[in-house]
Amino acid sequence: MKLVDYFSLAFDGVKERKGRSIGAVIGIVIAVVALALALGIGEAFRAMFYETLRRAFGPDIIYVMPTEHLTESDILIMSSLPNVEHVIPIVGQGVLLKAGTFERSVMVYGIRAEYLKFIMGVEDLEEAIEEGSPDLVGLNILVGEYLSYNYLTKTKLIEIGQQVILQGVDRTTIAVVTGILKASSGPGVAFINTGSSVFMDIDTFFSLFRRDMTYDLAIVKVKDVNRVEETIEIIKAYVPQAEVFSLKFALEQFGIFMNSVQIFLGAVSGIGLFITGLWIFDTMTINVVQRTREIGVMKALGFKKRQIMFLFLAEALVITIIGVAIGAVVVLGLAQVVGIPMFGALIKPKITPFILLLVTLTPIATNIVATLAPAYRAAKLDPVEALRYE
Amino acid sequence: MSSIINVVNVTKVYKMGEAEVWALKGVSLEVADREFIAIVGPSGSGKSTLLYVIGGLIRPTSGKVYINGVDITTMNDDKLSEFRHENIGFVFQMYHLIPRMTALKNVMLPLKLRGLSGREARRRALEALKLVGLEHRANHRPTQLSGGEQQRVAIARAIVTEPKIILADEPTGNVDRKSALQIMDLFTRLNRELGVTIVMVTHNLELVRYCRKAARLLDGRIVRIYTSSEYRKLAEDMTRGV
Ligand SMILES: Nc1ncnc2c1ncn2[C@@H]1O[C@H](COP(=O)(O)OP(=O)(O)OP(=O)(O)O)[C@@H](O)[C@H]1O
Ligand SMILES: [Mg+2]
Repeated sequence: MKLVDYFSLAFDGVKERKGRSIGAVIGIVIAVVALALALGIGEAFRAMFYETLRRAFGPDIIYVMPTEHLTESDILIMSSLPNVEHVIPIVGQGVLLKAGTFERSVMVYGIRAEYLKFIMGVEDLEEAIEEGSPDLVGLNILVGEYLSYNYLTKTKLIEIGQQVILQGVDRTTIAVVTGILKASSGPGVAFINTGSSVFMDIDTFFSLFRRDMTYDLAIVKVKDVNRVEETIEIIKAYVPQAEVFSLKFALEQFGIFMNSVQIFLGAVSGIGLFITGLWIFDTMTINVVQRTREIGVMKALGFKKRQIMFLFLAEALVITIIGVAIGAVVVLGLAQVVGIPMFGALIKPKITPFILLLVTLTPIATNIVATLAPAYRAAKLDPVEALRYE
Repeated sequence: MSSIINVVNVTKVYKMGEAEVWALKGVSLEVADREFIAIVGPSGSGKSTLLYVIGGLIRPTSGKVYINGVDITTMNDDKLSEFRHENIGFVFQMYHLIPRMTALKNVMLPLKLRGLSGREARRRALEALKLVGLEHRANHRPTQLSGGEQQRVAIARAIVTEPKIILADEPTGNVDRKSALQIMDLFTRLNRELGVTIVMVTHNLELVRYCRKAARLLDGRIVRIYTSSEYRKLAEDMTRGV
């Protein structure tokens, strides 16, 4: 028998049981859409975080995160190591910023003025200044643009030269706003959100908030990118009390994490596929029972076992392919409109060709497997008993 | 005349758990080419079993069945399917048309199985429907047809592959008398004009006179084969049950 004839016969069968077939198709559509969106969201997160990581870690940057104290002498040692261009120490603390009636919890970072341009990703710090001057000495502070301006009400919250209060856990101080910093798009180097943070001179920071003069983080910029791994090993030897890692490491770790997140998301939404598989199994089993006499007739007409089996498989395939096709269209449509708001952006599911292939082939495979048993049952029916079946 | 069907000492035992039912107890029957023969006998005497053994739908417990000189009892399932498709047209009491398909599609089904193109299958199916006088019902579904019409569609389906043999199991058992006679006329034409060998199981002695011979089964055995001149005797024997 010709392949088209199998499918045309199968299609007649699908049409005959419209209600059940439509139910199965809807189930498949939902399962396909759920799986594709879950994986697509995972994929979008992965892409976004990769991008963030890439921005936070240039290829020439090594992060040194202390597990114990990281002191000035550690910084000096690292600065003198081979292939190290410079070492940027960073300290930060959460405080309550009060400017008139405006109050906001913010991070205040202590940093040397000459290194701030590096955090901001500019050649000259002037480029990163929205307003005022980058004069980071004494009690002068620079504040991010999101703190200085309310974009909703379009009102200024903080003026240049204004005195503001920084209220720490055990220390409160007055500081003077000397400049407004532009926001870098998304979290930048060291994951510092420049648009909504406060920067002050590191010595002032130490005397106000960190009497023991230890650092939270050091960023090492290397001269030769190709020797990053080697430099990491040397730093580890000299600064054993710190985690030392690079972009490659971070991406690897993140990749492992995202893989398990996606497998988890896939498994949870894959339950839908399992349920549609059961539904197809059920539908096809009922189908075989209802068509017992018909199967007897077909056998009398000369249909072979495998031809009967293929007829039922074709029927499951017709239902599945209709469901998968509708599902794929719905997925591609929804991917344009739905999204999860995060970090001020809308994260839209990223439907890669791999995801599309996976969510189309998996239901087809699942439903073929689900149909094998009932189809086999049909194939091995005794023709005469089938013809007598009431 | 050569024999197209040769049944040699066939037994059929149905096993139902411990119990055994001997449906055929050593049946031998030769049917000549172009023959039109009836199988008669009381209910449970083994008529259907014999018919399906001849058609390769039931494997005998012992004995041989030769069709056109070929032993079909040693064939595997696939070979038997092919054999049925090429040589046999079945007609059942309950018509067994596929309800979701039109008359035309039902008749086209064996040709589709054969791999014929849609156009060719359609042409030949329409021809077969014309032969049974139902070409104007081609696009009706079985539920839109009378019992007699459904059975004629089933006959069209049986002859569309031009089989040498038609095996009919009480083909008139579910239709009114007028339709039954119409069906018998049709069988007679198929037999005379197309040379189809027909084996027909029936209860109805009125219909036996269309056949040239009648084999009478009793309790799993053929007790006698009657020629058309002996039908009065057949009627007597049947009523006496000997
Ligand atoms: N699948 C089966 N399992 C067990 N016994 C069976 C089976 N098929 C038929 N029989 C028995 O075999 C015997 C012959 O059955 P068969 O159907 O051949 O008779 P029949 O002459 O066609 O009867 P009827 O005129 O009622 O159709 C009967 O006793 C029947 O009960
Ligand atoms: Mg019977």
